[in-house]
Amino acid sequence: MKKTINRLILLAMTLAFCNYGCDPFLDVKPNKKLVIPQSLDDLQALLDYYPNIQFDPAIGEVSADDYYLTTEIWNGLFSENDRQLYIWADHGIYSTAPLDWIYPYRNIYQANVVIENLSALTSDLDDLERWNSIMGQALFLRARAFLSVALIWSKPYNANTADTDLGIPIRLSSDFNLISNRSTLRESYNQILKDLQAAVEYLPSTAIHPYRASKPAALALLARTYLYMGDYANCLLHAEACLALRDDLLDYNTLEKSATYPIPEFNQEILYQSTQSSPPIAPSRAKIDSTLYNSYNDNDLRKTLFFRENSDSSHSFKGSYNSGNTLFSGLATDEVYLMRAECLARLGEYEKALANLNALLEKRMVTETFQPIGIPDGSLLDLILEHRRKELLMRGLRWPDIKRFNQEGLNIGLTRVIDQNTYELLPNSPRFILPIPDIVLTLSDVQQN
Amino acid sequence: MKTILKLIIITILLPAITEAQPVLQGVVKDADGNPLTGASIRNSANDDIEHTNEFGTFQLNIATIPISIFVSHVGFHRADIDINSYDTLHITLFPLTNVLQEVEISTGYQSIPKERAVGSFDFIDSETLNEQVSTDVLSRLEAVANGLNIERRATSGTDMGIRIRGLSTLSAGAIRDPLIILDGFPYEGDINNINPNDVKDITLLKDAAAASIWGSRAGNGVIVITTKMGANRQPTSFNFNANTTVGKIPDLTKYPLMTGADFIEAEKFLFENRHRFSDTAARSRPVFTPVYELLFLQRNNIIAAQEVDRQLSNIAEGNLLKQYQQYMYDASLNQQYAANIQGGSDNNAWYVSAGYDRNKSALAATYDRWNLSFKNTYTPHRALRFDVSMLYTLSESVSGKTAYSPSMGLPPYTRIMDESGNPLAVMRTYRQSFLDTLGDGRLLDWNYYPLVEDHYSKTTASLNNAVVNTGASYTPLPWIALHIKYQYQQQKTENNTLYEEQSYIARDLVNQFTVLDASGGITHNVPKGGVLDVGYSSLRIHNLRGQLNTDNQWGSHNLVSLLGAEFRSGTTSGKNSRAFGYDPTNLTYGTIDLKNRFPHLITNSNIFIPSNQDFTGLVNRFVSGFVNVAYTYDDRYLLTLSGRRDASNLFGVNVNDKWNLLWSVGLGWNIHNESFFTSVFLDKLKVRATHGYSGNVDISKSAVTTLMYNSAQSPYTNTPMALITQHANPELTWERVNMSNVAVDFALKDSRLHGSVEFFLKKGLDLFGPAPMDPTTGLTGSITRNVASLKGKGFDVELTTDYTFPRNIKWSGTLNLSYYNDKVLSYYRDSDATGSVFVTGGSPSMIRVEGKPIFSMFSYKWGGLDPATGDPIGYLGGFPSMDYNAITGLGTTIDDIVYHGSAIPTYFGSFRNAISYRNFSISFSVLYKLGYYFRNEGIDYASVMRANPTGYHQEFNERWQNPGDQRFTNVPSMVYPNHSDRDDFYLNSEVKVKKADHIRLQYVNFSYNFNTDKGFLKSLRNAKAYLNLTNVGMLWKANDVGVDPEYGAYGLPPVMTGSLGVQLTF
Repeated sequence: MKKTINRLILLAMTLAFCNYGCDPFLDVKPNKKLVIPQSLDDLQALLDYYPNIQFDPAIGEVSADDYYLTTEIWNGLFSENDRQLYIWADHGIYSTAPLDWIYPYRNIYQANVVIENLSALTSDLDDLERWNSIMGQALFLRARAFLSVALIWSKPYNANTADTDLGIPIRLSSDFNLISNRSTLRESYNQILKDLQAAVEYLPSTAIHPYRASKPAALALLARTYLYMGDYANCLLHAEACLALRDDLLDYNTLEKSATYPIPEFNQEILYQSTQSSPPIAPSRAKIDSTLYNSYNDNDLRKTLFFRENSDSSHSFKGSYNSGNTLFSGLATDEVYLMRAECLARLGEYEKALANLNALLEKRMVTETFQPIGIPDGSLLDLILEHRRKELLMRGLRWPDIKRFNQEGLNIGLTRVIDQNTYELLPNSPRFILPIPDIVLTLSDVQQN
Repeated sequence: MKTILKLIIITILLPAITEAQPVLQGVVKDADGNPLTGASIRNSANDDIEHTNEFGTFQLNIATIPISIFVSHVGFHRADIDINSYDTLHITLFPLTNVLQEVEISTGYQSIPKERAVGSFDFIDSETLNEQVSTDVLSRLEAVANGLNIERRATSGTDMGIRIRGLSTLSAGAIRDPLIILDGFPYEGDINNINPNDVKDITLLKDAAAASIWGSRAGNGVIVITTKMGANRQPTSFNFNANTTVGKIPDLTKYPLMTGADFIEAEKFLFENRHRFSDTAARSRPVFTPVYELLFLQRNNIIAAQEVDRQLSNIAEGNLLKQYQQYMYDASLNQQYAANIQGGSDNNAWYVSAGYDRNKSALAATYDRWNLSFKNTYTPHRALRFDVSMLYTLSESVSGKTAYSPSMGLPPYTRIMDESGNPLAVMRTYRQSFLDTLGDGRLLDWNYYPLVEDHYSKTTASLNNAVVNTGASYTPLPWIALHIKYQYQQQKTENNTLYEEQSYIARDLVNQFTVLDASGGITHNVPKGGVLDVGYSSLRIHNLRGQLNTDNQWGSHNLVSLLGAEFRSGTTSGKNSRAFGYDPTNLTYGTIDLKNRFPHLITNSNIFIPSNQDFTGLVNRFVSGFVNVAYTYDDRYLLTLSGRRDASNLFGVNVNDKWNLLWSVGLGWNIHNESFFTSVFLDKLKVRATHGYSGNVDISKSAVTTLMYNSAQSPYTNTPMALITQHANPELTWERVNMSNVAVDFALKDSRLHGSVEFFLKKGLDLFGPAPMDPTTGLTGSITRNVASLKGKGFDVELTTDYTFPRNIKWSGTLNLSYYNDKVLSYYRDSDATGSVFVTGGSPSMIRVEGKPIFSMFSYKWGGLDPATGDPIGYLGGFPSMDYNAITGLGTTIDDIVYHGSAIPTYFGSFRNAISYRNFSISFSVLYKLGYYFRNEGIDYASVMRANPTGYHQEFNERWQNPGDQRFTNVPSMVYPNHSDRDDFYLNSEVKVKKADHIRLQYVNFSYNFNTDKGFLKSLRNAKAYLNLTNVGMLWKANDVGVDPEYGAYGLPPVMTGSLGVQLTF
């Protein structure tokens, strides 16, 4: 029956001079904006979609201690998940669409699509430079996302246990039918290093905008990765390589103190632009830890440029490198200076470390009163780490820093007070490793922390 | 027993040449004396059959007499004749009485007599349609059609909510409206372009035969609209119809909104808890309500407590709904005028019409529509025919006042006008006390005045639509015809929204981008003046169809076939742009910088000036081939076969997957034409059945990764940006849907009662549905996969009765009853079943739980209110729980959920009556929808806290306040801090689900036919005056919460309208 009908229809079509010959008629795109990714332009366009690409997980910063919330503000948070997260609850900290998990893995998927399609494109010589750049950007994007997940949802890296510690799900294919599961921590970091090392090779030395990755950005990220792996020699190596290409610093003396957001966006320190945002850490809610605020010297320009005094004499943060009410979470040269100083100090090269710190502080202190710091009475490393905290607050780095410092035995514990209830996060509490969202556990083979 | 069959046999003796003739000769004519071609004459002795030729004559071999013969013809009563001689017979057949009048069903490709149809059709003539008065035609269907339901809650911008026999897919984005055919071609313009006065009839195609005729887009059924046309050799007639419709002022006070006093109480509670105090420091200066501002003043000791109380009690008297109703809404007024002339000569048949509609809505928005149509058929020769028609529509609509909507964010006590009639500013984006001090008068007024905003911002939309249809037919032999048809449709729309300099939008934009410097200088990055948004879109569709029709009769065999192919190409293009600093008097505009960002005056963040530039370009192409064969044996046995292959320009799909085969088979048996059929009760009895298969691919899903370019480039890198819109999904296959339909048509003797009963069964396999995705894959939410199977069943019953009471009072009643119920047979779901998977929102949504209807009503099990706190209690794992996050999240299992039933009507239909006495007639239709549930609205504390007013429900004053209250109320207490999952749980719990069953009187129509045989009306052929009431009211509803379940608690049901009109025919 079906066959007969088919034949008759074919006859009808032949009568109308059209069978499979209609292809040109039917090959027209239904929407002119639709494209199957097949050119370098298409792939670059995917990577330039900053509205998605720019976001980093904010959950680490929300959990950290650069800020606090008053009971009143905590009560006024709209999401119960955010309230629970603030007090480090084990459950109920994610909505059913956990953005903190989605942001990095969406970028990883995007990067995988680009990498897969690039491999299929045989580039002629003219395009080689662009091909390389796009490949570098995609690898960089993927590595950055992997690292941000590893720093939040895994233990701090320890070379002795990395083969047994749970790492993160590593997805290197855009095939969503593959089931996710967790790698070891060593595999995770090896993948990040591998991607970044390749990205360094592919990326150009400069990019047209901080929304695009460049070689110095990849080197900075490599340095950051080694830092959190405790490999200070390699961290130093890559920080220096980065600064050899870009060592610009912004002189805070030139900034307008009274401006609502004094730090200009896309300024010369920014190596790579990205953003973290979440209701608890919004500058209108988050109050800066008073001990931290008081630790700034009056000659320290950051004291006035970073903080705004509230009517209740608490302080909120206005020093975002986004120059607005969202928080910068990308890469900037100031972090690289501080990594270099830290590694030099850890490797015993105090003079160099100090010179490095002074180079940064010169741009942070009131010029007229600035005196280069000499070898301190106490530990130089502590001093560098103190400035690391003062310089890099509200950038998503405090949480992984606490984890790595506690691994070194610094015993940093955190405390929150809400409604006369005190919540404590003891040093080396397993809760420093955030639980993986339930929705991930139910739909994959991923194992909970 | 009364016999309505009448037979006249006139026997005329002719000179007899031979004594005994083996052949009987005769002629068959209708009552007017016209010869009937194709009538069948059957010898009862041997079932030999002969047919009349084009002169109505026949010859039948008869061996012996006496004998009986049966003479039958489509649309006529059968004549049973006893033959006692070989004399030439003169037989007159009488048409089936008026109600049984033979209906020609139009499938859009061909017209078939209903007697030969086997599919599921519903036919609605213009007389029935015109019992209602409306600007459009489709809204009239629900009250008169069989098996059609309009879903009013789930409708989106493009979804008209028309449903025929449920859904065939579980895919959320799929089109669910039936395909609309206007005069033989799919209609894609604005459906309001069609002038209802031009419509001759409408046929619904409900079963699989519809899909196999019209292809993959017909999976939801087909609505075939045929417009009026003249006929050959018809005297010229002129028709005029005019009516005016007045609508009541909508009753806004029906919104279950909190009173002003209650809202103040809630606000005081929040203020005591220092809610949003931190927002006073926020750089974005978020707005506070007037009550909050007052409480701040009291707290800061600026105003004394007594004065605050006095002012609060004054504020509490404000009534936003009342003011809106009084000052914004008015009675609507619609006028409609239509005229047409039709006629025909030997070679020509023509129809010309014109229509004008002018509508003014309750919010003073206007809609003007002009319709012109012209149709002509020219038959120069018996074998040749040319058709030309043109439909033209021009419409213009101008926006009116802003409707009240809970989402405007205004507290219920807000006033929009003061006692002396001056417009008042209402809360908007920024804090009033901040705006008052800003800019030392250098800024434009930053207040929003809803009362007068419409004076300064207007949207004007004009639409031009033309459909040109040409066709030629060549009939070389009587039984074969070649048709070629071409149709071109072009619709152009232009939308202009002008925000004048005084409008809020324009003032707001200018202010946002103003830079105030300390020295008192001022810079406008957006130039002062109006803002003009211009949008154009055009739709152009070419259709070309070639068709070969045959109609062959030999002996008792009749074979009608249709073979054809068609091409269709539709192009949509559009552009939008915005001009700033626009001056409508001399058409000048200002320049702006779209490349750089500017500081927002209030937040100081750098933002781009919102430009609104956009271009679209869409192309839809279809190629189809189709075949349709209908074989009839002796008007008793019917067999139809039809098939169609469709291809379209799906993107990213292999050629083979572009082609789609649909087919159907139908069988029918006209039992009443059997010689053995001698029922004393029944006049007509027919059984028919169809079975068909259709397949579907989701146009938006493809086998490769596709990306879509963003309209604007990245302003940072100045390069194009693109987003992945489709993920490579090679595992997708066709959806397969099988549908069967079995029906019985019957008519009692003397036509007291006739009708049909149809059963249908639908089975869908490999249906698309969203499969939840692990977010680690990088895909958020879900992805479409072939994950489901579905079974749907139902029936449509149509019963019509005609009865004449004494004194010649005539009553005709039609009962339409439909039942539809489907069941998800299987649905792939991993253990992701969060509470919200089952329980979502107010409007019916696809729930997709195995063993339950697609649109099911589930709710959280209710455990009452906690006697100590007034917290709602739910269930988790069978035990009472207040872990709202787990209840509404992943903690919930199917056992914690209550299943109520279907969320869409399972039984629905209408009961239409027409009663006439002398010149008066009255008709009305009662609509009913039964067997389903809806979710009522309630207080949403989260929305109160967020100043998001969709949840300001009046049941706030019934909330739990003191221990013991739980005995009287289910409304949870107000607590601080609020847990939005607690609200979610309560609003989606058992106590909020109500029965949605209801019966409403849809319309009543009175008409009076004037006597035109004398007096000054003598020149008229027909004159009628009518009075019509539409949306008359709810007759009964099952719920006790006073909610019209079709619109929900926050929906505004349409008001009753009354129309008065005349219809004249010359």
